[in-house]
Amino acid sequence: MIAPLRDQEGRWAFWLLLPALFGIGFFTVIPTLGSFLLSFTSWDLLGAPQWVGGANYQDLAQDPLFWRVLAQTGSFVLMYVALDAAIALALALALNQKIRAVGLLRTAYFMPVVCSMVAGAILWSWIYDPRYGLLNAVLAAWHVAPVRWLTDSHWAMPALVLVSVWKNLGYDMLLFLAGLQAVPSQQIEAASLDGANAWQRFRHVTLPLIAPTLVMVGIMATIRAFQTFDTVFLMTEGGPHRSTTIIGYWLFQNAFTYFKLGKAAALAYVLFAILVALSALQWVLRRRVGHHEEVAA
Amino acid sequence: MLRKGFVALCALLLAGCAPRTSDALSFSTWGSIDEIDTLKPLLAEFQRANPDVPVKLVHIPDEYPHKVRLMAASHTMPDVLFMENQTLPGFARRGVLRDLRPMLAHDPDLKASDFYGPCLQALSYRGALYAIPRDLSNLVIFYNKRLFDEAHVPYPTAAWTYEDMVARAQRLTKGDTQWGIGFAPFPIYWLPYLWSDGVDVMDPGLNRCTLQDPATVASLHRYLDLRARYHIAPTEAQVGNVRMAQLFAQGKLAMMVGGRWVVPGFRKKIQFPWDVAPFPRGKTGSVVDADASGWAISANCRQPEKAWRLIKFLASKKSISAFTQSGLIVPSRPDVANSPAFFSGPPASSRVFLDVIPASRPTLTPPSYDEIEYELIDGLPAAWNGDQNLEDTLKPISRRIDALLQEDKRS
Repeated sequence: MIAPLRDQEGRWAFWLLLPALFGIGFFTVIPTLGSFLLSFTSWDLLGAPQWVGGANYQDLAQDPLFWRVLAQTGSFVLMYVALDAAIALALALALNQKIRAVGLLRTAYFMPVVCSMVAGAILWSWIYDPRYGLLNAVLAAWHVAPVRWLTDSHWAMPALVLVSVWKNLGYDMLLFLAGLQAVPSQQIEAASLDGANAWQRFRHVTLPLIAPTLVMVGIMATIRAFQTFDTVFLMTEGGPHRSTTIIGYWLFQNAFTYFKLGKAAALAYVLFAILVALSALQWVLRRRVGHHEEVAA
Repeated sequence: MLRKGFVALCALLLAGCAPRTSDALSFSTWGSIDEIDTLKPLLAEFQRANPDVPVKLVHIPDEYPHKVRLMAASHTMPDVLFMENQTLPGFARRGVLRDLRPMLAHDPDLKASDFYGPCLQALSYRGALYAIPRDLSNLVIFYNKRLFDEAHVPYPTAAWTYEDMVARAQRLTKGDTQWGIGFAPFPIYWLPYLWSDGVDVMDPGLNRCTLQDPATVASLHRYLDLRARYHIAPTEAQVGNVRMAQLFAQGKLAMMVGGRWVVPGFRKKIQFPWDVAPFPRGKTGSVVDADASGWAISANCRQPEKAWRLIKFLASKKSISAFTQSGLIVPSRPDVANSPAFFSGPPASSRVFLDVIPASRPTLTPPSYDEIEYELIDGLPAAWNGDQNLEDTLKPISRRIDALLQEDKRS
């Protein structure tokens, strides 16, 4: 009796999954495999792709700009992840207290997440405007000379990091809040009774307990940072002097401005390899953190 | 049951990919609404005279080369395409455009001699002609006559030099509110300074970047001097990202380097008297660009004879006159250029656009030009803004352009 029922269920499941399967097949699996093949060709969208073997990867390895872009991407990711995690955690700790209008504050910090990135980038371009911008006007009050935030190669990258942090801060703050609310109050109380001060309670009780959240936020932020494209596209176009050209933007330029599809596909797979390596690292890290968690519990 | 569903689904998906059954000629173009408003009545007229050639207009206002390439990749490239000479080589080298020389040679009405030579040259690649020109675009000096009169400065003349221009601009600059000459980071606006000194960004054979040659550095310095030494051109700190044409229209700029395309806007917006003059002579002459745009036929077009009929109509004296009327273009045809269609309305000295043609030349555009142009637009502002000296700024840009030119040789 059971077997036919399972058959029927299987048939239903198949039909229900079919549309999604087609969608994923046509728009994800096939293009992903296609772009892998493309990375071994030279193609400018006109005519047929020419098979060039590993030449695109070889060219990249020999291109000083590629290494510069990688280094810049790395520094962007590090700055972004560190700043994002630190501020999001600090905000979550503050908003986890019994303070007034906490709902309003949480909503306010979450606002940029639901905002369109295009609108946000245009807004920040105005804030950063060297002549009429809000930021320089505020700094002028402390007699700081005007800074060309987006057109000075020293400042452009930090300026972009700040916008990216602003954009997604609320989301990571929410994840930390959820983590914090799962911390049992008994353990904090027990630590207090043992004479632990606020810092010790945070360092030895709260932090180990939210470690899985911290790792998760860190990994998500890293992936997001590696994929950053919109802020660069909208605010600096990779300049000045290539100083904000990070891998996602350079990939786009190669594919759709310079029409070097093969090179762009190779870049995409370099990015893919980096993300796979980082995910593997996360897996190892998570298991170690998981072990911690058991001890703490 | 399952198999039947699968077949139905496949059929549904394939229906979207079915070959077009209509034999309409697709024709892609870019352009503002005003340009399309000029084009549409012409197409209607063509339709009346050629009922056997239905034309489907594909208007791509933005990212034109990008969109056309994607269409080519999906085998839906338009039959007739409007093209400009800077992006044309990228298409021509891949053999996706038809060589139009045989059609032009055998046509009873349209002849090569109907067009300015530099237009045809600009739209040719390795000896083959890939588009029939609509217009020629070059650069001249626009000047505000009122500012010249107020400062009692003589107007620019035909044989004036870089030094004359600097001397006049100095008398037309008033600190932070009015400047003598425009300054733009885009190569098209500063290349004439280099060409007029007999130098360029690359050698004519496209083998290497010549930016670091002493003569080129000297010429770039002459351009930078407009800002850094003579203070007669506005800096980024003074005007931000305001376009020079905007500053000129506001009456804050006495002279600017510009193309014919600003004329319709100037006719509408500007109240003060203004005119045009040739670009000043440098060390070796007054040389501006001779860029062009025109109509091409896709190599895959199945009805080339009909496509040619459309192009012939668009490139006729009558049609080119209609495009010229608004003031937007310098016509590709001398017979239209020397007619009221081109001369009525300001500027009074429109003839300047024609007089400079013999000494002008197309911009060098190797296949990687988009990337090279980016390096120039992104890299040079460090020098233009005074953050870094010119020589140091040029080093990495020059290395990068060399690498790109090598890459082009290989592909």
